[in-house]
Amino acid sequence: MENTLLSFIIFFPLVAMLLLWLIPARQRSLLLWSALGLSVVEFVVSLQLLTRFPAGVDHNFRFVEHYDWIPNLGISYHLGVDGISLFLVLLTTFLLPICILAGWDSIKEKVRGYLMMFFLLEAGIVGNFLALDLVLFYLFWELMLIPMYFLIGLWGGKNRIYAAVKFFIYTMVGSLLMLVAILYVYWHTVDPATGKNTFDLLIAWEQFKALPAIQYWLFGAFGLAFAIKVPLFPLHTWLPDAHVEAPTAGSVILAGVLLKMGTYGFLRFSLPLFPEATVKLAPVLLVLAVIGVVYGALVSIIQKDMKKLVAYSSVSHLGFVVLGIFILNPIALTGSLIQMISHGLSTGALFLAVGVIYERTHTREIAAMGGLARVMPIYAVILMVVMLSSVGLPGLNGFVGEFLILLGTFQVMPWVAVFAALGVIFAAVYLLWMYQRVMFGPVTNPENEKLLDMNGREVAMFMPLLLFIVWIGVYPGPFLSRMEGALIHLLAMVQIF
Amino acid sequence: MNGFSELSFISPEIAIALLGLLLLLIGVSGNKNTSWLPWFAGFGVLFAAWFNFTLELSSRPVLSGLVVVDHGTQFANGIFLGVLFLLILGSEGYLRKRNVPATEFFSMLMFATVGLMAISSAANLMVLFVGIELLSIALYALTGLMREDTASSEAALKYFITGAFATGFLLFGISFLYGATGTLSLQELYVTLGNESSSAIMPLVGVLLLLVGLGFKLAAVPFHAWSPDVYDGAPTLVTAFMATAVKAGVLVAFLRVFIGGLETMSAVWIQVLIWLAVLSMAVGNLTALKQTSIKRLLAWSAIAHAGYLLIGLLSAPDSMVQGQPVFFYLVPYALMNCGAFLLAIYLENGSGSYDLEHYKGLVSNHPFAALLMTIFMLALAGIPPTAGFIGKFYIFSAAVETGHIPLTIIAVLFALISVFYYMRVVVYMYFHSGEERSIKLPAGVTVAVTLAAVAVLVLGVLPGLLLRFTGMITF
Repeated sequence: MENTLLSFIIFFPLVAMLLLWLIPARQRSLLLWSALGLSVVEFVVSLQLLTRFPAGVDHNFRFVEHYDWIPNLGISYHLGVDGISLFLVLLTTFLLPICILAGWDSIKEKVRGYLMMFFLLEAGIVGNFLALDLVLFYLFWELMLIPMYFLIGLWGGKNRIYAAVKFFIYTMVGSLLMLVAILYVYWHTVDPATGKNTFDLLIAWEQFKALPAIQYWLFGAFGLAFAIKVPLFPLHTWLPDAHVEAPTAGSVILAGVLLKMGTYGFLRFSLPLFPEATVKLAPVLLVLAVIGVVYGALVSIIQKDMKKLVAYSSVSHLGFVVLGIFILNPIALTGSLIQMISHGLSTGALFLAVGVIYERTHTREIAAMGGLARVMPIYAVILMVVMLSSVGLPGLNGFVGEFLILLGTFQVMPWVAVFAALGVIFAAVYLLWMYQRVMFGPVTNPENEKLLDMNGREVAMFMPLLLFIVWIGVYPGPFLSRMEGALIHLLAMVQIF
Repeated sequence: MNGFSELSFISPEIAIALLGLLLLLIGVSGNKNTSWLPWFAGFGVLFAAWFNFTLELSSRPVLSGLVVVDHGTQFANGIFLGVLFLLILGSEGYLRKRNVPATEFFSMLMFATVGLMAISSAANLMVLFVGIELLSIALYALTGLMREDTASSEAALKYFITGAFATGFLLFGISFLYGATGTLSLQELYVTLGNESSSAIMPLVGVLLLLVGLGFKLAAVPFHAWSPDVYDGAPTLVTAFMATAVKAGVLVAFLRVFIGGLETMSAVWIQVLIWLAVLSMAVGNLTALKQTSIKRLLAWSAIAHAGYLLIGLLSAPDSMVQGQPVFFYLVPYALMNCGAFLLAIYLENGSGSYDLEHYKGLVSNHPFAALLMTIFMLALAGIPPTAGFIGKFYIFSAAVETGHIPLTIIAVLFALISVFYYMRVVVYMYFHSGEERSIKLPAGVTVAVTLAAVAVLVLGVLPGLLLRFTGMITF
């Protein structure tokens, strides 16, 4: 598996999907256990990326696979992993077993299809992070759309159809315009080796040059697709709907990695391909990002539904990430990348926690709860840690990213940092307040007296998350050191023009 | 040169025409047992396909300069014969159920195919005209084949009247061109019009009239008014044929006439085609949005697709790849439409209504059919990894190459709108629950739609298989 590791990571989930399809649909527990096993295998294999990925400052792509795919159209099968995509891929493969555990009891119908959709989703997301060809990237970008659409539409809540269609249409709006921009880049990128036009991203980084006026349009077309996915204010309205209607595991993967496809897109495509437009348009994105940070936090405060609260907190947190990217400073950029990972862990865990309560009470209304800490002590402890990590308590993962982003921002634009810091304060407000209302005080709702605390499966799905929440918080060194090389190179590309 | 030896160049046409005549003879013989007819027709088509496969190509027009036999001809013939084969496979049961006379149906289908082959290999405007007539007359008859069905008869009459009118335009255009240049040969037209001053009014009028005539056959807006009713009223197998093979044939004819003959006037017709394309996409997609019958939805979607294909056509003169994207897209286009129409035939609930309401909860009644229908809908919407995506991608790529960027943006926005109605079919099948009913797909249909779906997926992942052939097509 020397040179096929990345292909294996992309295609193994598809194989897993077919294997699950062979199991009779009625064999519920066999299906669940197989899916869990297969997803763990995938994760263990993907760990090789880490063990064979040296820490250091070089930015080269590793495990590169490069074959002609559709040579007549200049499309190649080009994969590679660098410090930017490494942890995003690992986060995806890491979250998948947890997602499968999350739906263990709550998914009653069509279990087989449900599990198959998760593997298809995994293939799409991982491929998206590994693709180094513009068309290949686009293909995976669209591929993840279909399983997510079905996950929301088939296993979602009351308004699932509306949410599924909205999700689909929003994503398509962005991606179709991006396709036109991709084609434009293609017709203006010539491979010096062959003299032909090419969709190869690494060649486009070096060869593609456009006048600033055209760069703005292209940046806009790519940026729209990514901004919708992030989602950046004011394009975020699909997110609360999708989250509220999606099944718990769908929300975990959606918040955990799907949103990162947007911020990853900015890093991988927008910045290096359109450096001049990036520098010129960065203020616009900064303003939107800060608005998102504050607005998302304020809206979270007034939410009555726990899941919606967490969904809006994502808008706020992802605003931070975009802020860290477009401040164009190495510290903030590193903070952004680590925040992308941290948000995946913390928010994923928050959605899981909401799911745990929902499975027991069938409601997510904050008002319907109260005093749960007395009934569910283990749950109270776990939720406390998860919540504090999302708030950004020093010693837990959320702090590292937010601190670095604020530090980097402060060096360049102190005022922006001040506004963004408001978001951190508000985050403490909405999360702690929610925790207080749900957990403390007397048990307000007599039905909640008899709630069972978390069982072994539920504790098991939180444990790995908690491990990394603490690890990144206490000792982020191994993570940061692998990211730095690629990020410094990225900034160098933006500033050379 | 000896005329007879050149007949081998049109051996597929001859084979299909003979097959049609034989079928007609079988019809008059009064044999009531028709269950073996599809087998007979199917093998005949395979036989013709073999002729087509081994066809000897010629660098210059053959049969006194009337017919082009090049890679494009061979490729187009392949599409027609492929569609024919799928429809014959899928005809099992439908003809009997709807009381469509089988011998007439098959023989008319053969004659229409000969017409298609003629127009897509025309080197001379007279061949184009004769081919269009042969095609049209067979189609009028096919549309009205359900004699007891008033909608069918009405559709046939509408089609006939408007079609005759359009043929008049076509003929008028041809005569203008002849008057201006003194020739009907496309090659000579190319040379003569190239020398002439571009302000001459006669060829201009000729080109515009030709555009009207062919635009009508293509059902491009604003010449589309006939098509929804005709598509709706005709037997669904005939609708499938019209939406796929006929569209393909007319587009190839378009390429032959406008690239092969009138390329020097491209400044004029590109402008007109841009408007036809935008209008077709706009009207087709927006009207499809509110359709409640799958048959009408597919009819309007076919009009919208005419718009996308026209973009490929109008990019052809300035593009390095000429008409190759159009040729490429025609294959997945034919496959996914054939598949969708064939499934639609057998998914209606027996009442003869094609209402989308019947698709509610289809996934629990027939999961395999629902899966295939989903693949076709995703392909029509142009979502990867289907060949429908690569086809659109290739056409848009040529459009961006030739600088039609605003047009491409308009096209992708309309493609976005189309996602709504294609996905609505999926929503009905998967997200709504409906009544329990048993659905049986006949074996032939299952084979046909599975073939089409697999091809759509395989070509979506490995389009190189097809690009090898389209890459050889030049004008």
